[in-house]
Amino acid sequence: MNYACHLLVYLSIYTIVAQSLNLVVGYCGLISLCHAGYFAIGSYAYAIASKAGYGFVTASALGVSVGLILSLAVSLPAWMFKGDFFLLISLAVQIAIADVISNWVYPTAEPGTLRNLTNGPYGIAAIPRPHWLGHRADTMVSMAILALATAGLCMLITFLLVRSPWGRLLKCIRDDELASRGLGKPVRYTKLQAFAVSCGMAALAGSLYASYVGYIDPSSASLDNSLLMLSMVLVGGTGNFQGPVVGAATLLAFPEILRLLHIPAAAAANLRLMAYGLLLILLVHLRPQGIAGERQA
Amino acid sequence: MQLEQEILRSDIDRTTGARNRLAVRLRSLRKTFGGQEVLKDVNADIARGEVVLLRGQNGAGKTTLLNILTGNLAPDAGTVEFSTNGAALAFSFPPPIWSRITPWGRFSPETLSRHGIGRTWQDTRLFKTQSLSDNIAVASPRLIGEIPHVAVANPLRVRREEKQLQTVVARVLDKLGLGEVASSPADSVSLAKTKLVAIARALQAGAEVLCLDEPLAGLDSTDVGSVLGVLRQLAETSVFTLVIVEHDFNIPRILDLVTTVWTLDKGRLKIEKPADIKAWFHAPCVEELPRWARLVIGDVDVITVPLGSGAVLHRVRSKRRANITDAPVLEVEDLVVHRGYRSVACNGRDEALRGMSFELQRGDLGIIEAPNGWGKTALLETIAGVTTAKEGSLKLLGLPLNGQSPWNRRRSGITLLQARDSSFSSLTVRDSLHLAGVAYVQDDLRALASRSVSSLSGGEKQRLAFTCACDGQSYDLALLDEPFTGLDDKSISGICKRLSAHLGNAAALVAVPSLA
Repeated sequence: MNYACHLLVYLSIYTIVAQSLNLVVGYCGLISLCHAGYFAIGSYAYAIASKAGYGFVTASALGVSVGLILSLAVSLPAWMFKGDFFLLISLAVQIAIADVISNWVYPTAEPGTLRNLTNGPYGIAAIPRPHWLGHRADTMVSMAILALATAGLCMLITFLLVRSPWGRLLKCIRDDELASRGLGKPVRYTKLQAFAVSCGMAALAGSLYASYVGYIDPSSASLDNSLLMLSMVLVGGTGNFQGPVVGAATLLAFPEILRLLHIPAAAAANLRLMAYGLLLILLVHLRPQGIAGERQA
Repeated sequence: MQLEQEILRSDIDRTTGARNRLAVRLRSLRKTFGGQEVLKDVNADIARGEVVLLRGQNGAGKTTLLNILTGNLAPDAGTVEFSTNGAALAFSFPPPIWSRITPWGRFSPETLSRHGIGRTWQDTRLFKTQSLSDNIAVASPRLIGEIPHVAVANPLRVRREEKQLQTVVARVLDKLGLGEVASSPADSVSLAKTKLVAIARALQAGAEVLCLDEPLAGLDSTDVGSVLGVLRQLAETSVFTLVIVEHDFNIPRILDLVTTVWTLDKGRLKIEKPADIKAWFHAPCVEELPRWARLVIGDVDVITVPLGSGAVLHRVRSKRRANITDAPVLEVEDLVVHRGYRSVACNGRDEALRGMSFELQRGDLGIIEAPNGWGKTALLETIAGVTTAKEGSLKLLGLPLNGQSPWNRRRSGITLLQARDSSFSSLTVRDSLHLAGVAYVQDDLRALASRSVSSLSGGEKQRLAFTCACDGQSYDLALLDEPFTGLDDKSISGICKRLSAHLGNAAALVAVPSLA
């Protein structure tokens, strides 16, 4: 039961991550490699706020707000850059976030203070479990319910957005930015909104992750993590609602299958990477639109 | 910048009657690209309800002026004023530095579009993954559903608004005769339909001044009629102001709509009346054979072979070679051409006659005249090996071509000029010519040698593409897909002359839209 709840929590977290990244990759047509950075920003903001005594809602809201504001670091360059140039900028943002998290440390200061905000490579431990209105998610079942409810809320917001004229406008900007501008559409402002929603949701997923795991360190902001998130979107299928859910479930299932086959942990880590690579190669050749993507004409 | 705008705005407001009817005023516009002055001191006015034809030779600056009119390109100097949507807007150039870094009131396509200046593009630029109805719906200004927090917080209101909008769009599409394909993706309908939707989309965005970039380019005679019908309706309402860029070939078709002609010559704008230029144009070509074919071959014998679904192959041969029987250069037998999973370029109604057969000898000019969507491009690409032929056989000089790669077919003596822009935009003209192995370069291209291909005008790119395809390595068969697109009369004559010289030792197969 606990194992199933654990899987549900992880699936919920990565569904939020993949759905949010899909807004940028699938609907804006911009490949971003800095999503793990925003995930980590949400985690750290939540960890610091919850250790200061704030509840789940307040601490998560702080994480989302920081994610929203810092999304400008990547959305402002998106006004001018596309394709390879944007990819490089997102990589630079990713490295900058990871470096700041790894180096904002001061040995004698308390973690979470201005001098030692992230505690550098040591990370922040003993993050309290989520609590709100006198309730505490102490059990795995309550944690799974909270994660599912958060993911459900995010999916509902994403669904309403992508099915609205706003989602249609994003797709039109992706198809032809100049033609969209020629119709008087606020292309730059719309991209800014898309990044804000996307980064805010990634930060919310990060908050959920920190509250569940209870420990956060700079590895959550690694480039590997960003690549895993991007793979989820590409494997599932970009530019549609169901694709990221399928992608997240597929990539999360791999390590669990290896665990069931009783492969040693050291070998399993390498096998998992090989399997991801193989899956991406097969998909590119056999189903470039992703597992749940719409068939191309 | 804002202060200057206010001064210019009050200047317009103070003026009387005639000036108040002005929709657009251009003063002392100048634009230079890489030291070459494309527009020199351009001055012009457009009154409301006027239909302006913008014409000129290739590279004369037509697209540059159109881009300035629609905010896609800022001039180096001069002023641009608009009096549309019940308000005035003016820009002077060069703008002050601070105005370039603030996002408000900038000279941009979105600012001008919101002020009632719309445009269509030569290649339509519809949103290809969206349906035709969504292509029009998205153009509507001030949709509440495009505000993300409203879309999330009040989905019912958004749905209501969308429903009303789709009803309006369905009515527009019905009027255009596109009701049945309203939900088809934009990349799956014919060029003519996309051109109609592009016009409807610009109007839905609130355009009062509509700039149309070659609205008739690439259309066959039936499609030209339907686009012209819509333009005529717009012109007759006197509400819309039209600026139409069109090439010489199509000008006779629209001349009766036009009230003013702007002729760009070496960067200077000459304003004329339609009657002044009427004499320069022949009636649209409705004879059996295109006019340029006679320029290539002179006195000709023509054999016309029907290919089904409204397409014909004119096999044109000089009368001097009429009695010479040579081994065929190209033999096509029972060829079935596919585009994706669908077979095209055939008489689809009769399975027994599905495949096409014909041959060309040295000196032959084959002209495939077919409606858009018939599969002309697919046929030429199948012969060149870009697309695989699943049925039928192809032979070049008696040797089978089936199964050969495109590069081997090029080595065997087939050259292909593709219709769409397939030049290498990051190369210079010199590098492109070098890559194609062109030893002798015509004077007109030599002057452009150091320019980047991306900076060339549409006509200059087409001349370069023709030179690379036909003046490089030797060939026995030239496949030319709409080689005259975007070219003026002078360039067409030049190309015909060169093609004529090549035909002594080779054959050519040219695809053009139906003209009759």
